[in-house]
Amino acid sequence: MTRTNRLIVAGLLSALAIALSVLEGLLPPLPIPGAKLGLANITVMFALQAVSVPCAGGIVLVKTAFALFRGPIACLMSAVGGILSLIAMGIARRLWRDKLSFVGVGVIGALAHNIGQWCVAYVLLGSAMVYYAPILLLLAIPAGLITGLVLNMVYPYLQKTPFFRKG
Amino acid sequence: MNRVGLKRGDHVVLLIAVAIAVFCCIQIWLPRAEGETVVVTSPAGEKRYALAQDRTVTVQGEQDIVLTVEIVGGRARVRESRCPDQVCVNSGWLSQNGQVAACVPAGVSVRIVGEPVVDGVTA
Repeated sequence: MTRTNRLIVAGLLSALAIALSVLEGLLPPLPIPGAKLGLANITVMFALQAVSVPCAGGIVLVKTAFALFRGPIACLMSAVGGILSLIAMGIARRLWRDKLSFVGVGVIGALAHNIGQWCVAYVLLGSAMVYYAPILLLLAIPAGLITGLVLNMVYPYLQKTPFFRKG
Repeated sequence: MNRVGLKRGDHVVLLIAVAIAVFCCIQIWLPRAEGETVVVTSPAGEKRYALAQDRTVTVQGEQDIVLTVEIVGGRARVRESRCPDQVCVNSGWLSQNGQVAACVPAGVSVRIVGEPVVDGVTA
């Protein structure tokens, strides 16, 4: 893939990430406080696998900038969660590239994301957040599982598209 | 590769995830003692109210977010918040030790503790 191609793909995936965030916001809210599926993470995982780490990082940055619309705190939480998640997923991919599918990567990423968010909340609110830690950790697991499964099932079809054929 | 594409490493990750989940579930749903005091922390400081006494408190948070905390029949909740996320409102009723409803953007948390009210906010 040429430099220009990578840039275009990064832009498209960023747009898709924001579209997925908006779509997720339209779904009826889950009954659990603070629960989110993190559909946009699908694009980050795809970028990590099919493009490059900088491309995935770019998507995380765009996503974070977009979170600014929901206020500076939401933006900060999105940034710390997103970056920590990216680092964790990047390391997992590097260490166990052939042993993990998107499900494993997604669960690791979701856990890291929520740990990052919790850390921000802890710094801002202090010990009151201790009770909330297991809830956030627990919620990360189905979120990572579902997003990972989606990509696991879609990826083989994506590989048949011209995007992959050109290499 | 099976149909959903799980690999060996995924099983390891999922196994660890299940262990974390079980631990979290125990932490979340383990019955706790009923609390005695509601601690409301806001940018203005910390205020304590007895759970036994019904009342409604208005809390001013950061970013012009105003929260209404309600204590009724030994339980407390954030009844209303001007925050778009509504995480604290969705946390529902709190009555057991350690339970918390927090609004991070407002910098406000409501939590239940076991020790009785000590500083003058009784009566």
